[in-house]
Amino acid sequence: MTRAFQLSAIWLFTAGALLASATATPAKQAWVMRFDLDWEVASGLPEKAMLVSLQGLANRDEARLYIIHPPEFQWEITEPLYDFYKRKHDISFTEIATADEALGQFKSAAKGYVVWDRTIGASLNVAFTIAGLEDAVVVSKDLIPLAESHGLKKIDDLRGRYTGHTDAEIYGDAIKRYWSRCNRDKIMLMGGHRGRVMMPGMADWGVREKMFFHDLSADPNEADELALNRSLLEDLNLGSIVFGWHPYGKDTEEQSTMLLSMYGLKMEGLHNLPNLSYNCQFEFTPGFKFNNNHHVALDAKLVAEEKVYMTFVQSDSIGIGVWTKPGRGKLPFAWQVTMNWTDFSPAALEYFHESATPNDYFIGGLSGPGYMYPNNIPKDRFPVLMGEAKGMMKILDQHVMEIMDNSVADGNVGNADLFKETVDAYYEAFPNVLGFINGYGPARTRDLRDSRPMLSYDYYIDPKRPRDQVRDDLNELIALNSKRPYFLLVHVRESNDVNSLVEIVDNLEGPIEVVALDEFLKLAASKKTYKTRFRQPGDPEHFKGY
Amino acid sequence: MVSPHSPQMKALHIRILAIALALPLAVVAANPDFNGRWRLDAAHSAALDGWTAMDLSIEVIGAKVAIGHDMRWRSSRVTETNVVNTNKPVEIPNYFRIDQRHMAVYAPKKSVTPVTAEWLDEDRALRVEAIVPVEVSQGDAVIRIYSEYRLAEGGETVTLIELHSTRNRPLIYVFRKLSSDDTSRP
Repeated sequence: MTRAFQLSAIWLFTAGALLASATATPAKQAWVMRFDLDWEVASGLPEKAMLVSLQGLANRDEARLYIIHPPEFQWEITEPLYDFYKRKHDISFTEIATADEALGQFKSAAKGYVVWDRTIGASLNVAFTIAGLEDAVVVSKDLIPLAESHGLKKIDDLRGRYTGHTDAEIYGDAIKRYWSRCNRDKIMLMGGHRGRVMMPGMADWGVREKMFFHDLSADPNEADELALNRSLLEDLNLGSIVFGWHPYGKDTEEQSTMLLSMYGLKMEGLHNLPNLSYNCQFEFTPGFKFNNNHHVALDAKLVAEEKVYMTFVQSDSIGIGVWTKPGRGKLPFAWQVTMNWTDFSPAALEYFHESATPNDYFIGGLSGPGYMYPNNIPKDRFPVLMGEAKGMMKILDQHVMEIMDNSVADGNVGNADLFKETVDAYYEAFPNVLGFINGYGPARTRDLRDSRPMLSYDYYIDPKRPRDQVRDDLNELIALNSKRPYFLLVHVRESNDVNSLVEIVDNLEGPIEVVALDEFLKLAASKKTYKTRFRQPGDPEHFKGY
Repeated sequence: MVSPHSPQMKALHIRILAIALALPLAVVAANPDFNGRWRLDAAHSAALDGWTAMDLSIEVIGAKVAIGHDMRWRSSRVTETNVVNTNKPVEIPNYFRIDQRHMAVYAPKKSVTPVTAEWLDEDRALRVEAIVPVEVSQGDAVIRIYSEYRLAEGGETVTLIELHSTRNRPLIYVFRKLSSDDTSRP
């Protein structure tokens, strides 16, 4: 009996322990929804707009709602990051299948709803602004019954208010009504896709943070919109961040980024960057520390041989590029990290870090503690901003700063060069980096001071360019730059695949060595076969500025 | 000393006469079918890089051939014309080459390009050879660009075959003729 009791007791204890383990309360309970790729105003957008506004409200006090997008969505890593939260933060997610379920779960986070006008795109941005200020979900006419079925009351209705009005008139009115109550450290440039498709995937963050939403143009030809845009930027606090992206078709990325840089503001895109309201609430996991895959020490001295040294960099911020595609790790690759994710998305940074191969090397950028065009940053703001950047680079264990100024370029072609004064300012601000790289498309800013080279891209790989042409282009550059060593810095545009690059490298002519970026810069410091050059008067200028 | 009536001098005179006769022939022999505007057939051409569309215009005026390029990149347009001469070498300031704009290979601010040209194959092809100065990251360099404009039977297609001294495979661009009343731009 005693033995039988003992065995039973042991069995019961073991079974109880297993049961307790299986049903253990997770560190946090959260919910997850899966979106499809339909962002058409006429079909998929209204429900998604409602859900992201609800997400912003639901996540205001704690991280509760996460959205997974298909792998084809521009921001590719929502699913891997979801797995990361489960694995590293012990989050137990409950899947929500419908908008009805989502409203049922989170309706207490909302005080009501605001109706936008599907025929007036700007009214959606005004509705998002109201949503943040009044704790409302944004609904189109068709979704009113659903919202009301969950007890939500109408807070505002924009139908008819802006009929026949220009965007300048609409936002002028919105500024008068709401700007005084909005966040002055952050603003949401909810541009990107316009017209038939809109993709406000970042709206959750703007709603959570009570930002003013707009898609005002930065094009001088849109004088009314530009004036309003400038009035908002002028009214932000020093060092603020502009979230989102410029409006396609209204202005250009170059105009938009140049304008905010002139105010010393930082850009953090995209308009469809999802889940920031969720991601911002996590810290790095306990004990986590960034250890970059350095190939050379900061004080190392290398000597270049008589050959072609080549290295690849992907900017565009990791997460919208080839990170999740096959082939990563086969070649040394440098990845430009959006450094201020240390504040807004630490888990994403930790995910990238833990999934890096030895060939993945992280660098800082873009131009500073956000996306900025440094030729245009006010002189008194430059040291402050670069001080921020240095702090983030230290946390992220980064030794290289990537710079880009496309203010007078024409997309990814044209003049992407830095004035000598700008180069001087970088050398002064970053005495301890290994070097700098510049450009997006090719550029011709080059220098070497003490052991820190500044090199520009000699080639930009357009993902649509046939691979045999890419090979011939690279061989032509190698032929034209006939002194050895030749340092060939290549920018790999997002969505190129690494496997195709491996094949290209195998078919290049001459004594070629592909090296990691840090090694490349150290070698470039040892023998200067490149010509010093800065942006010069008379260089082409596509955009004449403000 | 060679006598003015010697067989060698006779041969020389004959050659000079032949050249003299041939010169005006070369001037008038240019195939009129080349004249006009030509639009790039992107599907059958080497991929442009940093350009989204291109038209050629060709105008033969005596020994001179004006080769115009109407290039488009998004909303930006560039129009440049090289005037070559089939009778003599010329030096062309700021010669326009169809550049791969994602390569750090730049036209110098001021440059002069030696260019030769001639009609070939019973005037169904125009050869243009240019020694083009460029600026690259290591400084100044040159590309010898051999271009052949071949007119297809029927006169509706021109194929441009472009060979670089720095590139082992040619770039081939196919153009279709635009009707004379077509005023569209690429």
